[in-house]
Amino acid sequence: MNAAIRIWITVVGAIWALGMCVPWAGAADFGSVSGVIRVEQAKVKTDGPKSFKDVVVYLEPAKPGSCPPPAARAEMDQRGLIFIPHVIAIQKGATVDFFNNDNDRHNVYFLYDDTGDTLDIGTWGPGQTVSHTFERTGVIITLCKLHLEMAAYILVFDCPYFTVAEIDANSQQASFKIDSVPPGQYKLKAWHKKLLMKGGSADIAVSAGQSFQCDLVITKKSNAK
Amino acid sequence: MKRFMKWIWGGLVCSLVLTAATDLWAVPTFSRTYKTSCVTCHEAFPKRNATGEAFRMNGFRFADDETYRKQEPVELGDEAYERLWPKSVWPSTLPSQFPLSLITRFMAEVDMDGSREDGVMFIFPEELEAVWAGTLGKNIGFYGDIIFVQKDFGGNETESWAMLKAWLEFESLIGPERAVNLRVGSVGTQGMGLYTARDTNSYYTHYYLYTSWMMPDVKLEKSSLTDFNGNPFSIDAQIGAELNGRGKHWMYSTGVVTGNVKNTTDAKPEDDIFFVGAGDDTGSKDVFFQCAYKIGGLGFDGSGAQVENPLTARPEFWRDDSFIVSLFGYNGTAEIDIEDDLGDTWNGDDDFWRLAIGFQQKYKDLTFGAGYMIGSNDNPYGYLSTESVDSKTWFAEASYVLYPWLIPYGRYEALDLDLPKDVPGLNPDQDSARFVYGCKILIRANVSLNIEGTYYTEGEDLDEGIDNTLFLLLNAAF
Repeated sequence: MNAAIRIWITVVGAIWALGMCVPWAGAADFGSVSGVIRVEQAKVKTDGPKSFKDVVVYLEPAKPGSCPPPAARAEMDQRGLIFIPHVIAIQKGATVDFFNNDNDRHNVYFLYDDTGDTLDIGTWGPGQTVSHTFERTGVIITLCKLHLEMAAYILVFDCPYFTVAEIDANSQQASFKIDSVPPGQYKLKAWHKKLLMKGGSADIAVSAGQSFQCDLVITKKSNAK
Repeated sequence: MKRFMKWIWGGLVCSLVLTAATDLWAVPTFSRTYKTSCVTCHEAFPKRNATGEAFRMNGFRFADDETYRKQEPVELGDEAYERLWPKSVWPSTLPSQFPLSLITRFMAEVDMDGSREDGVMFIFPEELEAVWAGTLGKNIGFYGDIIFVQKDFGGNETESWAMLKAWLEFESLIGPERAVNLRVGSVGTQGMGLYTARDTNSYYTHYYLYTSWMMPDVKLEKSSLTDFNGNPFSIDAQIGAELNGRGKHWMYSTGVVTGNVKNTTDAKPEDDIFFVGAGDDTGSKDVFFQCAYKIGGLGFDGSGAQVENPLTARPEFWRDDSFIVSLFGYNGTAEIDIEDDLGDTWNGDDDFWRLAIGFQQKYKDLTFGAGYMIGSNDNPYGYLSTESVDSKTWFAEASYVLYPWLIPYGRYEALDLDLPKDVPGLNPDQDSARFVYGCKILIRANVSLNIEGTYYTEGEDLDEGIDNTLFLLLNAAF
C-alpha cells in the first residue's frame, strides 16, 4: 500500500468517524422519527395526476406548546390542468405561492375538510402567481372552479414535525423520516386521502440525539381500528 | 305537493314543444385524452365556452397541448425525421386509443291537444351518435360522425335513418399559425350560418328558423303537377372544401359546396343512409362565407386569459365578457324539376343568395344575441311563376346561467316570405313567428335534460307536427 492510499484512507476514515460518532453542534438537542409505512389489505394506485401515493406523517405534541415559526414558503403549480404537487404539508402561518403555468385561467378554492368552510382566493391568468398564508390548521381540499377535475390537498399543522412520504407501486410501502424533533411525548399520526392509519395514532417519546423507529400501517376504514 | 305538481305540469303543458335536432358536437373522447371535465370546454354541452371554441378552432388542440394531454399519441415517426429528410415521408401520430365517443338522446313526446291517437310517445332512443375526432400529427385534424335517428313527424309512427359526416383538415398552410386551414369533406359544420348563432353550438334543441327554413314546396294534390322538386337549401353542412382560420379577434370560414342537397330532414329523407349535405352535382357550385370579430373575452386563439386583479376576479367556466359581431353569406344555384300530369317536364335553375348579420353579447351570466338575414331566390317555382321570392328572417335570444346546472333560455324568431300568389298548390302566406323557450338542466357534466317549448304567434298551422306537443329530451355523452 503506497503512502498516498494510506493518507486517503486515514482522511476518509476520520471524516466517517466524525460523522457517525460525534453529534453535530445543535443536532444533539433534537431527535428524529423514522419508519416504514405499509399498506395493508388495500392497493394504492401510484400513477396519474391524482394518485394515492402520498402519505403525510406528522407528530402532534402531547402537551401543546410553542413551535418554531414556519421556516419556508411552499409552492403549488397549476400546469396541464393539474395541481402539482397533489399533496403538500405546511406549518400554520406558512405562505404558499400558487402558480399558473397553463395558457388558461385558473382558480384556487379551498374547502376545509373538517368544517366545510370555503374560501375563494381568486382567479388568475397564465404566468401569474397568487400567494396565500394559511392561518388555520386542518386538511384543505384545494379546487379550481374553472376545471372540475382539478384537486389537491394542503395539510396545515401547528408544528413543523411532518413529512410527505410516497408509496412505492410495487412494494406498497413508503419510508419516512421526520428530523429536528424536540425531545418529548408525541402522537405519531398519518394522513392518506383514502386510507386510515391502523390504530389511529401511536404514542412515542422522542429523545435528544436519538432516532425513534416506528412502522405504520395504513388500511381501509373497516380495518383501521 | 299536489298543487305544486299541478303547477309544474301546467307550466310544461302550456308551452313545451321540441323538435328533434341533431349533431350535438360534444366529443367526450377529448375528456379522456386530456382527463378533464366536459365543462372545461362546455358551458353546458354541446354549447362550448370560450376555451372550447379556442380548442376547436385550434384544430382540437390546446395551446401548449403536450402539457395538457394525458394520453400520449402513437408516433408514426420522430419529428427530427422531418428535419433531416424533408423529402421523405413526414411523421404523423395516431391517437393512442380509437377516439370514439357516443351520444344518446331519449325523447318523450306528450300530445297536449288530443290530435294524436297516442297521447304519450316514447322515442327511446331518439338518436344514437357515434363521433370520432382528433389530430394526426401537428397539422392535421379529423372529424367524423354517424347519427342513427328515429324521428316522429307529428304522427304516431317514427321514421329511422342514418346520416354521416366526415372531414379532414390541413392546418396552418400559410401565414401565421392557424390563419389558413383547408378542410375537405362535410364542410360548414360550424361555418355555415352566423358564428354567433349556430345550431351546433346552442342550448336549444330547436334549430334556428333562419337556418332551418326551406323554400315552401308546391302541394301536388292541389295542383296539376305529378312531381315538384324545389330548392332544397337550408343552412347546414354540405359536401365541399373550405378555408378557415382565426386570429385573436377574428375568424373566418369560406367554402365551395355542391349544393342541391338530396336528403333533407324536414321530412323522411329519400335514402336510409346518406352523407349529410351530399347533393346532385349540376355543374355549378355554391359558395358561402362566415366571419366574426370579437371584442373582449378570451381570444379565438385562446389568448387573453390574463386577469387584472386575481383577488377580485370571479370568472366562471361559462363566463366570457365579450361582444362578437358576425356575418354570413351564401350564394347558390338549385335545380328545379317539375313534371305535370300530362307527363311534360321542366328543368331550370333557381339562383339564390342569403346575407346575414348577427351579434352576441356576453356579460357575466347573461348572454344576449340577435341576427337578421335577408335573401332572394330568383326563380324558385320555375315556369309556374316568373316572380322572384325575397325572404327575411330575424331572431333575438337570451340565456342566463341561473345555476351552473340550470340555464333558462328563450328566443323569438320570425320568417317573412314574399311568395307568389299565382302558383297553384302553393300557399302564398307562409310567414311564421314563434317563441322558443326552455331550460337546460345539467344532471351531470355529461348528462343533461332539455325541456323546451314553442309558442307560435304566426303560422302555427304550418308546424302542426310539433304544435301543442310537449317534448322532453335526455342527452348523455360518454
